[in-house]
Amino acid sequence: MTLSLILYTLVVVATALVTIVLSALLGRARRNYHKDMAYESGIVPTGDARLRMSIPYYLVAIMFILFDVEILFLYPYAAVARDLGWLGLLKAMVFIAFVFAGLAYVWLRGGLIWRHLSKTASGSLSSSQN
Amino acid sequence: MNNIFAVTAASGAASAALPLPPLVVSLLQIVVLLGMLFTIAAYTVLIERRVIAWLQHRVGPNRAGPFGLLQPLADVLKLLTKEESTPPFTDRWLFIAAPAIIMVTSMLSFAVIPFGPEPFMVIANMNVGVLFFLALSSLGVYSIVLAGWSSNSKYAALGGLRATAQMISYELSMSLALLAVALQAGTLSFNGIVEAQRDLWFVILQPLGFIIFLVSVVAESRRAPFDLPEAENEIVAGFHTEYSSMKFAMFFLGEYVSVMLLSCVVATAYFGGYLGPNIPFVPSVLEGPIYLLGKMALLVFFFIWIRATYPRLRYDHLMELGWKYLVPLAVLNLVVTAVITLALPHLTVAPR
Amino acid sequence: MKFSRTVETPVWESGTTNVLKGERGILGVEEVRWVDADRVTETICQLKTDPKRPFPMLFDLTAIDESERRHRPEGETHRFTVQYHLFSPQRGESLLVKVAVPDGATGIESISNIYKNANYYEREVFDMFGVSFHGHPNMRRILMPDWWTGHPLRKDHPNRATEMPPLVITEEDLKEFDGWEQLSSGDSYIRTRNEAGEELLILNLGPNHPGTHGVLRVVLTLNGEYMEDVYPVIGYHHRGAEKMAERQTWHTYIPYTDRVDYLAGTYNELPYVLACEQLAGIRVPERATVMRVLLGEIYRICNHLVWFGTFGHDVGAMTPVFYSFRERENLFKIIEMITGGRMHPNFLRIGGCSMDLPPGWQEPIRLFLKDFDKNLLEYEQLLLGNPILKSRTVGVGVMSGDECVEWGVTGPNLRASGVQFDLRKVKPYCGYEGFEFEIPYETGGDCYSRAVVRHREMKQSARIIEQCLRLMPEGEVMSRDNRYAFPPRKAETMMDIEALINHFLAVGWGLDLPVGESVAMVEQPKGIAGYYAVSDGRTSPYRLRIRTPSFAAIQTLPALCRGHLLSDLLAVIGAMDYVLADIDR
Repeated sequence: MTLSLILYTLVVVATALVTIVLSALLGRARRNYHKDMAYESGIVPTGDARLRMSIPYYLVAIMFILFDVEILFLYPYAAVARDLGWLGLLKAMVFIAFVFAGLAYVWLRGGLIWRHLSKTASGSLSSSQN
Repeated sequence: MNNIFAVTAASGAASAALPLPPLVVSLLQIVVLLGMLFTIAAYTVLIERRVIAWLQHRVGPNRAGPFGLLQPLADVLKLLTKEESTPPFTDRWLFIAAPAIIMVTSMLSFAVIPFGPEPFMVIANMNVGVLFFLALSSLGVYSIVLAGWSSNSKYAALGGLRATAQMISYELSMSLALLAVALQAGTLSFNGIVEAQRDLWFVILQPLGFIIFLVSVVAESRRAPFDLPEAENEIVAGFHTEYSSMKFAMFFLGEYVSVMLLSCVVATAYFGGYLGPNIPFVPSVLEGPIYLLGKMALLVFFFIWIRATYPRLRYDHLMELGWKYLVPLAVLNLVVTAVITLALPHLTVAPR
Repeated sequence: MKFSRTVETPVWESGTTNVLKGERGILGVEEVRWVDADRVTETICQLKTDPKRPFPMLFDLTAIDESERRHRPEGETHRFTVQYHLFSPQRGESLLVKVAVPDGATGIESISNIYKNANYYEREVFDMFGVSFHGHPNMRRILMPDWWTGHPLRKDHPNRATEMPPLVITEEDLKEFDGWEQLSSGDSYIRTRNEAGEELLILNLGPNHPGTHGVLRVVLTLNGEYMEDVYPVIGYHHRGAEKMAERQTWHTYIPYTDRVDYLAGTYNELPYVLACEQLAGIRVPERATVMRVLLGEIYRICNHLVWFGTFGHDVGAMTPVFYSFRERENLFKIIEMITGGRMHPNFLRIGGCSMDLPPGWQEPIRLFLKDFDKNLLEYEQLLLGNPILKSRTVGVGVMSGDECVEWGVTGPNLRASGVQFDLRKVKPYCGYEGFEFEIPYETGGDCYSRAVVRHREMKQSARIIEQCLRLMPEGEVMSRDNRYAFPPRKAETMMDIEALINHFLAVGWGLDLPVGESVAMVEQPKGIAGYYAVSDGRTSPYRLRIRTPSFAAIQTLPALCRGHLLSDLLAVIGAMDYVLADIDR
């Protein structure tokens, strides 16, 4: 029911907020120099944690958006697949084929390879740097 | 289907069948559901620890109360009174919002899970329940992203990135597998999906889809062997490295509610949800919850079991498993399911 | 070249007197050569590639501060002796090159471009003695913190904290220490950008990290999840075990050896007591020798069980560690029954073992052996057969046999690279030649091979234990040589004035082993360990050098990991099987 859903949402959000406030009130806060430092295995961090991320992560995000939106288009079809019959299935197949062609394209272009040995890996044994 | 929050006719009618005003019914639903969620989530933690201990020739927590039954209470009290720290280098508001988001999204999803055929056994019997569930699980990713980013700590950032890449990748195969279920049931409502399985569970009709969904669900909940975002040997605690006290507990709670939720969804989509043979001497209204929670318990045990058994996957294998195996197979499953549904429409109970 | 003398074997019959004459043979090595400081690189280069008698492995590189040595040849004035222990795994032959260095500032040519593993050893000598090596790529401290003043193994450095002014650390000091630990971006070893100009993430993995098996710090330069560079920082576990030896009596140092590779128990004491027995010329009774083998192999299984569990944990399997620790607990019960201790038994003595086996000692061992094969199979199914584990370890961290030798890597890691080399076969000690066992080896050279080799070694150790059960001879467990063997029998002190005097001297004063130098090498669970003992005729060692297998292994970490994923680092670390106490000592 709509009423239940709205109420439920409110209650859940309120629970989360109360939990946060409650723990802030109950727990003691004692700060010191080392506690106020980002955790990096007990060493003072070198450099910034917010650096540019490598390309594969972006690729995953973009691919997700593309494919997820495309899959969403299929949901209305799924709800009425019976009514649309074989012709509807054929049309849906064409759509799926297009989506799949996209995946195949990414695949062939090497977008799905996550293990690429970086350049420094070659000849790593011969160069002792440390 | 013009209003996405449309309530099915039967639901409205049956709520009238209860001799109570709608507000009271709603409040009752909420109190019962939330009480159940918190209790079960807390005890899932205990059960997980006991079961893993049992699998590993250990005893597990048994000091707080008989058989350690008061352990969850002790944990909550401890976490509540622990020092609550929002470190100065973090992005304060996002840092606080992140755990709240995961808690809210995972609990909110339970609104569409039917615990029984009666209309008051579900908070919102939406005809787009499946989409509601997928949307909230996508929103849940924000929690991880924000936690990782706002912490401004390297381990958290790495964990957040890993989690994001992993969760969005497996969401694809998850929604594709669920799509096949919706197609076979002919509806996007979870109630409808359960009702369509009165004759035959979907796990028999779509074994491939079931396996894909199960794997995706484990990955989506970031649990072993897909627990890369929290792989303590590699990146310490991952995205929640900088969290402490109750904010950490909210991630923890969010994870366990997610496990319960996803187990319920697996049970609903493939194992007939609340359906089951009559149990003598039990009021019929309780049969639904008993069956659903029973099925959920078995699936939760499965989650725990694989956690104790398998080593962790590596990032590249994880991504390849998702994109190169699960997504194509899920598409195949969808096509096969569509053909079967059209060719043999009588396997499932047609939507009302 | 000052002296070139081949020591005949067996050496302990005659080897104790020639030091006073100035002709210094060293017990336990085949040859000693004195080389002038300006010819060291040339000589070592020749020795390494000698067509007839090559020494492909630099087993150890260390130094001795000679400034307080009483027994020195006339006219010898140099402050330090730097010595290179070259080794040939094929022939099991050792050659010691000794170089006189007048003082630390003058220094000596670096050989880090001849033997790759000389890098860490030279840094260690620099750190401990202040001898600088010219041409070394990274001449900085390795075990002590950068802010330390003085060089600990010099004789003029205080032995213990009480000899130094009280250490007061203020909040400001803490901040300053933090600054020392930070590797500045100007450091040539830490890059913030790679060749392609991409920004890199510098991540400290450890010292306080759940995945590094102790206080190891690895500075990673990450590009995404890829490790562009790996720079191990060690020394957080350094306790100065070698310095401690210089103020313990020969005897009271035995418990300290237990703490070096704390998983190997009596196998740490073994090389130390072997080196001392060589110096003293003691023959150990046969029963004591077989007992040493028995306990050593039990500890080898213990070590491999810990390795098995932690390796599983490193790749994310949480259960194996509990299975293997259950097994290890059974072994510890046996060890406790025999020695009274568990991880640190303090059981071996110079001249034998501290006590005889307890009555009925065979039964628990037999019970253990009965189930052990079955349990090994279970471990194999649980972990080694798992496809996820295989996919994570096969082809990861590959190192060829030649490279292993070049890096001084020994033990199971070397055998996983296709080299069937085991000191117990090549240069047997403690009567290992009388036991039947195989040397398991694999050819992959990757993490999976290392795992399989260790798994199969456990089976071979069980075989040796089973033979010890059958072949245990009767008799004494302690040598009768009352001058050096410890402790002289208490009961006899009541009858015999000689025994009483010996007991009084040995316990109240300490043994004074004959002047000399001796090396003992043994095949520890983790690889070859070498103890190099120098006696100046006093009750404590003049210098004790501990060469450990983990120190050599950790040096290969950058070579094994560079260009791999972050997760692979953990697989490599897990398969490498090191212990921080063994690295840092």
